[in-house]
Amino acid sequence: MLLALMSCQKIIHVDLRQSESLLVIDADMSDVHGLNVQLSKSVNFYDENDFPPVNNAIVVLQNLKTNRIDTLKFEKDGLYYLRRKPTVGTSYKLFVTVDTTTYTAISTMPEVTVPDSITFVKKYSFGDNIITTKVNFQDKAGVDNYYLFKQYILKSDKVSFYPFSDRLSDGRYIQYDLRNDSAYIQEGDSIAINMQCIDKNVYTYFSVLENISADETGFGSASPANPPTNIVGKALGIFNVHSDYTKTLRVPNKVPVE
Amino acid sequence: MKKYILLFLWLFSGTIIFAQNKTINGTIKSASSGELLIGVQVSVLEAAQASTTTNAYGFFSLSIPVWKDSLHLLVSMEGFQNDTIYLDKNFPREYNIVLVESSRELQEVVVTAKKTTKDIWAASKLSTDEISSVPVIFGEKDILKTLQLLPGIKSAGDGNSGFYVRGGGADQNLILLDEAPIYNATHLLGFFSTFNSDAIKDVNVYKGNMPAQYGGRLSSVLDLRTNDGNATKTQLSGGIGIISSRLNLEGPIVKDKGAFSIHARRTYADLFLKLSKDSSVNRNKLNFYDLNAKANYQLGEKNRLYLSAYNGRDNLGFGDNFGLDWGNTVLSFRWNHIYNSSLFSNTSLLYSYYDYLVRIQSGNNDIDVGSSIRDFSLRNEWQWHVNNNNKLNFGFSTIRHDIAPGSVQTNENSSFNTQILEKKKSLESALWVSHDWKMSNSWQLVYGARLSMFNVLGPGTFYQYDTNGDETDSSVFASGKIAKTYLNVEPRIALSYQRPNKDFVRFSYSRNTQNLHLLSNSTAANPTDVWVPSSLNIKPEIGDQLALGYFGELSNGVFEYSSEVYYRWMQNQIDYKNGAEIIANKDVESELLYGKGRAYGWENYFKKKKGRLTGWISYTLSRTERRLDGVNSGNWYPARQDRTHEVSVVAMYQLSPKWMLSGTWVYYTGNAVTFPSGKYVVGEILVNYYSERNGYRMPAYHRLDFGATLQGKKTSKYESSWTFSLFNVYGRENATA
Repeated sequence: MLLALMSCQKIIHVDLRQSESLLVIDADMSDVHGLNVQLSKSVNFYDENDFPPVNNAIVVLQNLKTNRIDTLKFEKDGLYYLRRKPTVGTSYKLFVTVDTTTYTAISTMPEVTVPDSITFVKKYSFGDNIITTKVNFQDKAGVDNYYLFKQYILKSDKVSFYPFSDRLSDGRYIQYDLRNDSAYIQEGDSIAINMQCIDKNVYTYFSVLENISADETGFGSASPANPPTNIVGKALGIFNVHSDYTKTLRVPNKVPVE
Repeated sequence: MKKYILLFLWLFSGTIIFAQNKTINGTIKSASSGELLIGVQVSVLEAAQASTTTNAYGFFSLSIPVWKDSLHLLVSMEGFQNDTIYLDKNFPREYNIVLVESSRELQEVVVTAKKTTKDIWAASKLSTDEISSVPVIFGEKDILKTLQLLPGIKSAGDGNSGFYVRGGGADQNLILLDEAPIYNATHLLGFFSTFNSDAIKDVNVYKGNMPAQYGGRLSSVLDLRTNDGNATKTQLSGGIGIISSRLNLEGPIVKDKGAFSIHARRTYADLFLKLSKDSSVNRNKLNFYDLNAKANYQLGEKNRLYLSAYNGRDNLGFGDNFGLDWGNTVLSFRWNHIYNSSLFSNTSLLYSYYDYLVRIQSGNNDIDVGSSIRDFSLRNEWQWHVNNNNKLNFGFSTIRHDIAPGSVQTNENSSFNTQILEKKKSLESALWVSHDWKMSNSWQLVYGARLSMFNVLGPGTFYQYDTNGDETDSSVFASGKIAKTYLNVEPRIALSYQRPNKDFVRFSYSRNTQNLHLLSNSTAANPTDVWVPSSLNIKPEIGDQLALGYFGELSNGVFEYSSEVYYRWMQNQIDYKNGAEIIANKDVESELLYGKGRAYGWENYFKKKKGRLTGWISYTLSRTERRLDGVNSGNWYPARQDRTHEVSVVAMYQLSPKWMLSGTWVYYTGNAVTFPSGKYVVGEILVNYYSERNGYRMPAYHRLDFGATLQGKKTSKYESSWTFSLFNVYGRENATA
């Protein structure tokens, strides 16, 4: 028996159909920054990453506990803001009206958990030692908690995101690995870690997004679909009310091997 | 008994002539190995309508019209020399016939008797000889890979033994090894199947239209029977390859009374990894083994016992961080009993177990994730040869399923909780009856029904969910209590008309139901997929199939061809919602979507069976679609395995007595896939926007493989052969997604 095996990776070009340009609502409300709503339009897949802002909208926030209503201020380039921070356990409803159409979304501010520490280890993976960041924190027992971690590698502008649910970890002390599939982080690099406590719908949105997220080829998963959003109406994006913890660190020069 | 026979005769046919008939029975064996032979034709030379074939246990019954003092029994099977047995006036009722194998050279000259009976249900059949000649990756001959070259049976992709039959899913194929189900038929993540070709004696494939004795899956039945073992002499054989080695031992227990066989196969790709000095390579594991063992023993003239076992396991490991192993264990104990020359029964006790275990060791986390399925079953089948024109098959089966849907085991410092989901218990039973009626020399009708019953059993807590996946109700059932029962009647009909030139037209209709469903994170079968039974939320899948085909031969059996159209529709098909959590989720049923499927196609097959050049061309034109609420705006969309055109060409050429060359070429339309049509940004993340499900096509897939077998010197004790194979000859870069 003789054998010779070869494999290679080659990027193929597929002619994609034009898509309808839809409104994108990127609404982010945290206990640090207040509410920022970025409105833009989606573009065709092969277009430049140049997303036309939507500047003619009326954006309103309703506190569903007190029924207080605030109108957001327009800054520029599709950005609307309100310097009001969310209260734990309160749900908020967002109204976005563009031309004559109104889109709504509801999100709830969860309880706040912050990390005890952030550490680094070297992990052996497929022949490589990859520096992995660990976020260490105590999960609150008896409630469903959802988290979103973001890791920024400052020298390369690379952003990674990691949705996490305590479905299998309720009440545990969690050492969560922000896994990389390659050695993006080097000793001595500066990175920023962001930890958010989010609600269930936002978690589902980011969890589906993680599965389909655009890599270089644009084709991440076998049967991708649009993530289920909390926005009612034919718009893309998410309304995320969350806690916000951010820390900038320098990766030490001698990272221990795990 | 006689009274009942008469009643059936009256019921089933008003035109039977009550000539004096005498029913004979017997078994047919191979002279060289003593193996019982399946599908051998036995007929009376002087009366063409008196004809039958041996069943899966090499047994036959035949009624002989005694209208002449001397008659001849003609016994024939491809690959064997014909045998003619003279029947004098007082011929006995029992026969043990031995057929001599014809050598390859002889086969070309011998004109085998024209087939007059054919399995009315079966699709095209492959001989084990053909399977061993078709080139496959790593030179390891493989039944599942070769079957995928037949029309209507589609491969799930490179390095994947999963397959789709007529638009069905990879979990809708019933794979039986000596009657016991195999839940995962793949090794090494799909590069090999669990079937060691050395151990397999016979394979039958039914593509959706299947006899009433089979059930439980929508798409197909793959019925594999293993070798009984050589009943005349003990022999040891084996094979050594780069990737794997095989060792076979077989022989008589008591000469001509019983035999045993043991087939072992082990791959050792990782032994080479150990030679590496690089610790990142030599710590990896990549191996599997298979062990088939079988024994049979004849107790008197009327009873035969079979015990067969299979165990196979895969071991995959990357350093110390990650391990995955999975495997099947099956046991079957069978008892053949001949009540009289026209009544045959088989009783089987079967056990089947499949499990997987994923081990992750990472810092503080030592996690073992596992799942398993275990079956115990009892099956009793009767074959009653009423007369040459009327045969009945009836029986029952009952299977107890125990599914452990998931467990997560962790240590105390772990970030995860230990969690073991409740076992799911169920009982799957069936009663069937089928009547095979030769209405005239041209018309044959086989009709029957299968009554299938599925009991969802306690103990356990059963949840019900609304369409949003929110829990609406839960109820607790004690051990042995029935939480839900599903009853289904599955009609099975096949009608064939044989033309004077022996070509025939066949119409068939079948309904099948399925109560075990595979939840898979990918479209192909993976070791870590989870089986779930029908429940309060999950209804049985139902499939109906209509097919009409023309089957014929040319040039006295040198060529064989067929052309068949089919239409299939399927209900209660299962998919899951976006973001569904499959592993260790007690509410996994809240994450499912239900819908419909339909598939239709035209399958063509042309085969050259004799001569130095043999092989076949198969072409299928088909369409496979799904419709699910909430997916693709509720419109029909092409299923991932929808392939408009599919071609395979297989050629084998006997260059010299020593050299055999072979080649395979396959071509198919690329899979239906979802590509993004737009993009946008949310929270600094670039997100793709998808406008329709499976709206695009991968580029067409095509590939050419070559193989060559060199037969070494043959002595009475020693025989060797070399297999060379070349995979993807012209280096086509086939895209996968």
